[in-house]
Amino acid sequence: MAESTTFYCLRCQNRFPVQYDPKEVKERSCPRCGSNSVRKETPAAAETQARSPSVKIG
Amino acid sequence: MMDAGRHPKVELLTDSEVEEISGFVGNFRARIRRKARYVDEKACTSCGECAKVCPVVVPDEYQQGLSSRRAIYLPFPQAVPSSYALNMSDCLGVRPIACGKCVEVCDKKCIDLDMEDRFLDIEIGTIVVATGLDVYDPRAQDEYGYTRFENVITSMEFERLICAGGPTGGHLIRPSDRKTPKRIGFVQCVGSRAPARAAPYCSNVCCMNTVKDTLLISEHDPDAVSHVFYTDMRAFGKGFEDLYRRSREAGVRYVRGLPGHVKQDPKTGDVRVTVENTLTGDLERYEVDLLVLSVGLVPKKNGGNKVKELLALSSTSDGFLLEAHPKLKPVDAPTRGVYFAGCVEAPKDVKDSVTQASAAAARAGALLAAGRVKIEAITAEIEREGCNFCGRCARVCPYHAITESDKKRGLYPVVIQAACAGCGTCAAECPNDTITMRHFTDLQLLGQVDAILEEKPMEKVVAFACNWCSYAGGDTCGTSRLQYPPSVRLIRTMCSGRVDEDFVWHAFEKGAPLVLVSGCHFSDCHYISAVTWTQQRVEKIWIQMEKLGMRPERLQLDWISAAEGQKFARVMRQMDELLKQITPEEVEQSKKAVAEFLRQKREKLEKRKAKAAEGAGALAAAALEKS
Amino acid sequence: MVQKLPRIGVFVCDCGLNIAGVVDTAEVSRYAATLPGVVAVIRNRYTCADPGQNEIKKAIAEHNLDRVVIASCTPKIHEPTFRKCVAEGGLNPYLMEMANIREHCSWVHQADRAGATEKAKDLVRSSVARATCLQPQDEAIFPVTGAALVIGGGVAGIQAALDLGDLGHKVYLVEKEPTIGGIMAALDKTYPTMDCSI
Repeated sequence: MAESTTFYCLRCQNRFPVQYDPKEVKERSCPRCGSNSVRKETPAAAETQARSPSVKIG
Repeated sequence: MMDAGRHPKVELLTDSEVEEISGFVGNFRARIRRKARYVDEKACTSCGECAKVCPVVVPDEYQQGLSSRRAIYLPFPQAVPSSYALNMSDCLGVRPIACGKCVEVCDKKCIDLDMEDRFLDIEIGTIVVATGLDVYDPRAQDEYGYTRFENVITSMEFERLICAGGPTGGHLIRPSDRKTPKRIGFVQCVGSRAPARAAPYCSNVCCMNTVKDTLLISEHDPDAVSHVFYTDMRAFGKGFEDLYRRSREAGVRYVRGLPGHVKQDPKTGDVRVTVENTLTGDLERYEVDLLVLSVGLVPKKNGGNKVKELLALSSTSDGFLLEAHPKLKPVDAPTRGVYFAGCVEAPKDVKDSVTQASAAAARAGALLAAGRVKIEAITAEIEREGCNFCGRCARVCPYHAITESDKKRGLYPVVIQAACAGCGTCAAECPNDTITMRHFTDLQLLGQVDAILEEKPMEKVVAFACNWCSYAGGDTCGTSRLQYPPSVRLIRTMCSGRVDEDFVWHAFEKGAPLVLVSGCHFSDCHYISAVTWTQQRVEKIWIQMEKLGMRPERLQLDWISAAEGQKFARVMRQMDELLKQITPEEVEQSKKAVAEFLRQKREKLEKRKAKAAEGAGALAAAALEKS
Repeated sequence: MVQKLPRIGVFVCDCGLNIAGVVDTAEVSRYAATLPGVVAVIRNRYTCADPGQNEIKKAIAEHNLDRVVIASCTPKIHEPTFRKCVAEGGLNPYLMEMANIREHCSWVHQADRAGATEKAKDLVRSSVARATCLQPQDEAIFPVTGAALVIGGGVAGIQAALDLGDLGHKVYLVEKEPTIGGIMAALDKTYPTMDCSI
């Protein structure tokens, strides 16, 4: 079953909600920068994210 | 239709379904289930005596349930083959007390209630998929009261009511009181162009079908008035605009706007339609005797899907089958030797269906006429040495081109060369590195990575791009002269599915600050579903990068289509920007961590290979003993 | 895998000014000559034109080349051209590799000549490295069974079956209902000519 999960973008560090079903492999993109380098946010990911620079949008 | 029944080269198999398909381009095998018809179609003369005595009365599907038929019936007078058929689920014959009246009355003795399904195995070189589509069922969304109001009907029901071969002999009547309607309304886009509720796409045929219907009405009854409630009238084909003009000249009123409210008067049976005219902005009310819902076309649910699975075909987001290339190979399926004809690929009218069918026949005919098929030498090969029968290659192959392995019987997986399309997913996924991808070997691709990183690695992004989409997107970008910084170095693979985890690790070990993996959007993947493995692999590497203390940001992923030159340029600019934020210190640090990780990985692989070799030795010994 | 050092010929294309207008092709050619395995470098105004192709064939014979790298446009356009060209020169067509220094370089870095030239050199080096490991390949040929299966007996299936039959091929037309005709048979008249559907 799909449930709302937080994803984050490995390019612009945007966080966004996604209807996520672990059994389903789906194409996903960041609603802000359009990158497909997005992944489910885990505690480890949140930690590295805090010290990561990102691409400026605009 | 008649021609197809008579053509000496065409073997007509009605009441039949494809059960199994195997093989590859030029060499397919299929098993056809020939369902029992219970009537010998060759002996039947369609005299109809059987139906006269049949006691079972059921709704007639052909007439949209507007009239009835018997359990034994001729689908319609012009049916091909011209033979009655017995629908066993309607018949009393199988019930405890057999009826058998039809058998008694048949002079030709061509009815056999004990007939059973038979199977036919055939060998063919090519397959044309023409499984068609379904018509939208307005019961799903009862927005216009189809289930509540008798005088609200679908355009398919209208076809039968106006047809000389229909239940009324072509006299248009309305269901509630069988009166001839004088005011007829049509609602367009029922089930189409409604992303939130039904199909998001335009069904292509409904506008012109309604235009045709309004002209039929004025031919039948010049006094009748038609109203068409529409979103946009689309009359784009040859002769279409002309027909549309004739319809307006015949007095048909076109109202721009879809009804917001529909109600049937219980006393008079008349239907009241409230609509916002989007041209004037006024709320308008219309009274009609009959309201026709112009229903859209939807992908086939049953039957169509089975063939789709049998042939490993994929569909676009709208549910219709995906062609090999939208412009250059519009009738080719991604699976070689398979072609599409008609609405299975997209909604289309009779003319377009016929055109596409002839195109599909030409494509299929060219293959058959050639008599032989050449397979590009970009295919996978599996080495037995090191294989431990894990079966992963066969599981990930989008084309089912790899045979199942069986450790107990010593059966190694084998790549069926003609079925392999060359995506390289198996080679990337094989945990024991026993698969060689011809013309895109590990050695060749790693050689490119090394060459790129030999000098000034900190200034470069190593990027893998699939041949069909991302690499072509780069070409489109070039053709359009869209500018971006020169920091990215592309390595071409046929599919992003070819990008082995080890390629990425190798790049990091050699000091790549940033790696990009790019491929087709999921719906464009030229290897059906190979791209889904790319994504899963990249996600796996991200997790491992974190474990090694690396920022996962240093591995980027993008889906860029051949048309997306703009996106390609944007991604290249973003890569350049990310590259500037990666420090030499972190690259040095990760080089060591990755080197150590790869050393351990290789050690484990060696152990597995040694074990596999042991197993293979034991197998060989067992085989020797047996002989 | 590689037994001996290969003999690679690199052909750098100016493509008129399309490439040479931005990338210093002379510099790229000089650089290519320093790469391991490269025994001949030839710069051409238009490599894909007949004179350019003849130079490739001539060089294969003269320098006893066993690999060819062509630094020009995208392989999506001229890979078939150059595969055929090297085959005519006596090499297996799979021993040819292209470096895309036009669509992926000169056309997209027009304001950065130095950067574009550096990138072009890298792309050539990458292609030479790949070429070093290329192996001759044979394209497999399989016979084709002379019959077709058409699944679905609607208007499209009927037309495809008839055309294939008229071409002289055996056709199996499979329909799950008791009659062919599909949805078309349930229509009264069809637009735009208002004729009968059956």
